[in-house]
Amino acid sequence: MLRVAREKRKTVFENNVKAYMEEHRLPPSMSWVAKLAIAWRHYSVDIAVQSLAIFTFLLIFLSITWDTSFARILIWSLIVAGVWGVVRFSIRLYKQTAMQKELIIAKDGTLRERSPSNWSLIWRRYKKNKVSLLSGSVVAIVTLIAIIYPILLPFNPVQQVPLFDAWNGGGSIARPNLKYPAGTDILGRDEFSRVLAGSEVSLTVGVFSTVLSVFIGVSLGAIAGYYRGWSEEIIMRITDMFLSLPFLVIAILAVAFIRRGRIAFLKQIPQSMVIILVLGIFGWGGLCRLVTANTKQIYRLDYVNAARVLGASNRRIILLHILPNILAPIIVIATLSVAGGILSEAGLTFLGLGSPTTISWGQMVNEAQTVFRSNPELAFIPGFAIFFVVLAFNLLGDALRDAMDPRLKE
Amino acid sequence: MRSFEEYEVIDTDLFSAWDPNKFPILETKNLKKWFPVAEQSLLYSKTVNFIKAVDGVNLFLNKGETLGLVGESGCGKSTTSKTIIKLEEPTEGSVYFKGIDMFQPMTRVEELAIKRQIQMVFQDPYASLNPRRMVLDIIKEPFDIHFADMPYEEKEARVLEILSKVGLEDYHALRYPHEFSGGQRQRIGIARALAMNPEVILLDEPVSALDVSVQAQILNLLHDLQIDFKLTYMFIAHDLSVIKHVSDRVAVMYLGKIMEMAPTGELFRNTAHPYTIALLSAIPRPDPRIKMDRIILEGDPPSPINTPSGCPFHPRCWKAKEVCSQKQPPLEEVKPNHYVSCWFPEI
Ligand SMILES: Nc1ncnc2c1ncn2[C@@H]1O[C@H](COP(=O)(O)OP(=O)(O)OP(=O)(O)O)[C@@H](O)[C@H]1O
Ligand code: SF4
Ligand SMILES: [Mg+2]
Repeated sequence: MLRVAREKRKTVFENNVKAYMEEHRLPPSMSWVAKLAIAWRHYSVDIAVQSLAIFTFLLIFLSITWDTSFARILIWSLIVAGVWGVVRFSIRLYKQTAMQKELIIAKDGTLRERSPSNWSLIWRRYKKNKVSLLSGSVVAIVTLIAIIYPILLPFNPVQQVPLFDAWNGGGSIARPNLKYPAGTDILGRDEFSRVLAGSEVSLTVGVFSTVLSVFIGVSLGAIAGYYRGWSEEIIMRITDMFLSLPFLVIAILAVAFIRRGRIAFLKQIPQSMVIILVLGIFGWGGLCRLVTANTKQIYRLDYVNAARVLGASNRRIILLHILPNILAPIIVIATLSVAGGILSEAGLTFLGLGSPTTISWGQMVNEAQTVFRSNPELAFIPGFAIFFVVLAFNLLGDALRDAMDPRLKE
Repeated sequence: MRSFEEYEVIDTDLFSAWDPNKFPILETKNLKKWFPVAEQSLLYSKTVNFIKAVDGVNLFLNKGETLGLVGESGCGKSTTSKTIIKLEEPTEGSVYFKGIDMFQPMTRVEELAIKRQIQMVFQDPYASLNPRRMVLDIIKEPFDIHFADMPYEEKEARVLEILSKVGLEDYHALRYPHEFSGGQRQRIGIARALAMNPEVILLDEPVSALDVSVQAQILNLLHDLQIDFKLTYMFIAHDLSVIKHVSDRVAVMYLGKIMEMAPTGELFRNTAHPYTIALLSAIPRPDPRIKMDRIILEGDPPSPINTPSGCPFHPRCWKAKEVCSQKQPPLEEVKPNHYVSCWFPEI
């Protein structure tokens, strides 16, 4: 895919850019040197002025506040201003290149703007909405935390903090204070570190159970909608069955069976993996129905007929013509399903189906129950983390739906 | 650029038996397509009736000509063309392309060899282009399917060549369908059909969704392409004036059957079938002083579910006799190259 995309640019587009460069007597190749030269000519003054301003400001500020030799201050100011300049320059360069890629040269030599793809139209609509930007950044930040949390942890989340001392608190069930911003739990572990670490399990479960259910739902849905007949009949009946199962009961039974059962090798599956499997295997019904209905609708359209007339294989039609056109609702449902997965994981672990060795928000709320009267914050803080992340994913799903809704098309 | 034949994967012995001077390039024999009407209930579904969309169509296309297929909305023109091009399975009857039964069991290679030679342009230019693909990809698709080992640069060069042939520009290749007007989209659809150098193109109302001024441009384009590429067209329309303008021969369709088929001049001058006469009298005259009786047909066209027995036109025909409602008239050659399906044709 990437190779094709790159080649596409190389041939049609770069030929056009070449013509443009020649016409404007710019260096004939689009080498980095040439781009650099153009960017330098346009932006050097601008960037130099900014860097100089930063340099001067730092020099004065540091001289007043930093008790050290002037040479050192000079060097640090130079470094900071220099880095600033390089960053600005790179951004400009990038934007310039990106802009050139948006341009197409017509035969008559005029520059035309390249038409935005559907995805960039969606992005434009998405950008306009404040809520979507906010929820999007929350989701991005939480995801980032879930990945890099080990370097953010102030304390080891599974180790007891030192015993109480008058200045810093400590010990078990300490109230929030400056050293332990969320207090400590009943076993005397830093609550804040545990909330950070809990994001990993939540996100992993939410995302991977969704990946699994999207995979099952989309494959089955596409098959049912494309081939119809008895395959649709069978798949739809199975879907109905899965949709009418009491999901929570099944999940509790399944988790309990795997964790507490007698089969040894099942017990070795890690806790979060069990929940991922249960959520993924039981959660694809709605998506499957949606994909079936959408596939049937697209199947009747003439562009699918045209592909069949050209001799396209079924696989090609499904992958290139049908799925890309129903991707929008799939993405929306998947986002909402991540939220659902996080919530279900929290629910299951809250009900005591988690393992005590895994750090998970639901588990933390569960453990805080015994001291809820005296220390309600121990339940509220992880509870709020769940609420916050689930809300962000739900809002993101709604925002994506709004952005992708064809009725709002510009 | 290398010649197209180098990429052809097979030596098409397939068509060797066919002699263009003796046999039509495309022929349907007693082609039928009945859609089942099912009665759904909770546990079972039972076919209770059939929509006889195509009900015994016999027509043929000679190499290099344009056959106009005309008829009221819903008479089965689209279904006929879709069945011919294998988008639908026929209920009965067969389609012969260059003497080969299109529906006989085939290897994929043979199937592709036929698909390269017979293509289709669709009625609605807004539904016939995938909105998620660039024009480049849309027109390149036939090359991807048929000549997978053709280098990318060559595919692209060919796409640009085809684009210029249908009157579009290079830079259009990098745009998405929603940027184009209806006429431009139809040009893209034509370019896609043209990519494999087909011999026959089925045009399913290619201009009826377009403005009148654009219609003329597309018709001229189709005419030029026909001459350049020696194409054979089956041109479907419900507009007789367009049909008269473009076709060499015309076939008139009513309720899934061919009523009359004749060279254009002959059909308009010596109309033989009562339904065709009624149809022609409905064309607005450019000169109102030329008086001509307009025959107003009584009643609506019957639905294709409960088709009348005998001649399908008999409930509305002013010449109908006893026999018309009992026996179906065959499509007979009443004069050389003039076929009529009527017991009492006007000759
Ligand atoms: N897939 C289908 N299932 C059931 N009935 C169908 C199907 N396709 C077409 N029909 C019916 O077959 C009849 C003929 O339809 P068709 O589209 O061939 O007409 P047409 O002559 O092309 O009309 P138009 O000029 O409106 O395009 C119609 O009554 C239509 O309702
Ligand atoms: S067969 Fe009879 S009913 Fe049918 S068109 Fe001819 S005269 Fe009319
Ligand atoms: Mg039609």
